Amino acid sequence: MGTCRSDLNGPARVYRFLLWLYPPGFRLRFGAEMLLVFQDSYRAGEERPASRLDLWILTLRDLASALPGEWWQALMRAGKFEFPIRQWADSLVIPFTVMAYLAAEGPLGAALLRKPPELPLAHGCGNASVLACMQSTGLDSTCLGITMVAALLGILSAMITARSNRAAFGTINLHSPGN
Amino acid sequence: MSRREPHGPDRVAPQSFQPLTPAVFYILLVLAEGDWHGYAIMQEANRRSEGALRLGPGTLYAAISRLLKDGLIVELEERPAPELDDARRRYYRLTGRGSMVLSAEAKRLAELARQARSTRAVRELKHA
Repeated sequence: MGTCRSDLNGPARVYRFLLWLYPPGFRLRFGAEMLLVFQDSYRAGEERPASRLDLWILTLRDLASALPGEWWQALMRAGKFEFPIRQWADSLVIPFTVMAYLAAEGPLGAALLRKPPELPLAHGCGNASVLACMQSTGLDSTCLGITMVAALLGILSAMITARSNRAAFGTINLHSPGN
Repeated sequence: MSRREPHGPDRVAPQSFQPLTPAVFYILLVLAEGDWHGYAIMQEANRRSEGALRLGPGTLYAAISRLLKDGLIVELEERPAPELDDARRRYYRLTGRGSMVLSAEAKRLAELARQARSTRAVRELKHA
């Protein structure tokens, strides 16, 4: 942090230790200045012990309020949260499109488009509950197969993109552009 | 003093930054008066808010970090001479865009205050 250890008194050492709670990029960029500000504040309140206690309370409150935001920013910059969520959402477009198409073709679509629903029954399927479900939703076995394949493709696509993002953005950038 | 170029987008409406947090508002307000370093900004913000705003180093530099990113302030490249001040200090300056954002926020607050004063409840409170 560019701070000479010899000029650190006890409280400054403690504060220097607390600075390690901040994300690396932020600490490298502003750590030395923050320590300097803390030292200045401490010196200003050196005459009165109450001021010192007040400063420590302020410092702890300051840590509690600033740390979550800085870590969130650091993680967002590292792409850990932003990219996988977006890619997962993109991947789900495929099965949702197929489902919407099938719904439009079934009773819902028939009701909307004012055409009589076609309810073809699946042949060769022995499960009565599946048949009943398919009949009630207007899905036939071909439609069900297409939906399942689309859903599997979507999940597979999401897994591949999430894996490639982890490879690209998986490590937190330890150095801010300014350093 | 020369200064570093802002990193943020150039074409962003000042209103898009509203509402400013008290910390950001006071930092911009203090820097509107001149170039200051972190501790001076902290002290001056405390004085101007009559003790209502007590910034710690973490809150101060988190706000400064975002203001730098958005191009509302810039860091001056030159440092003070070691015999005059601590060479570790960095000075900050309000940019043109920062000035526009501060002005827009001041107008917004003035309008809010005007509307509040026009309500009967606030008028009665004033006379009480």
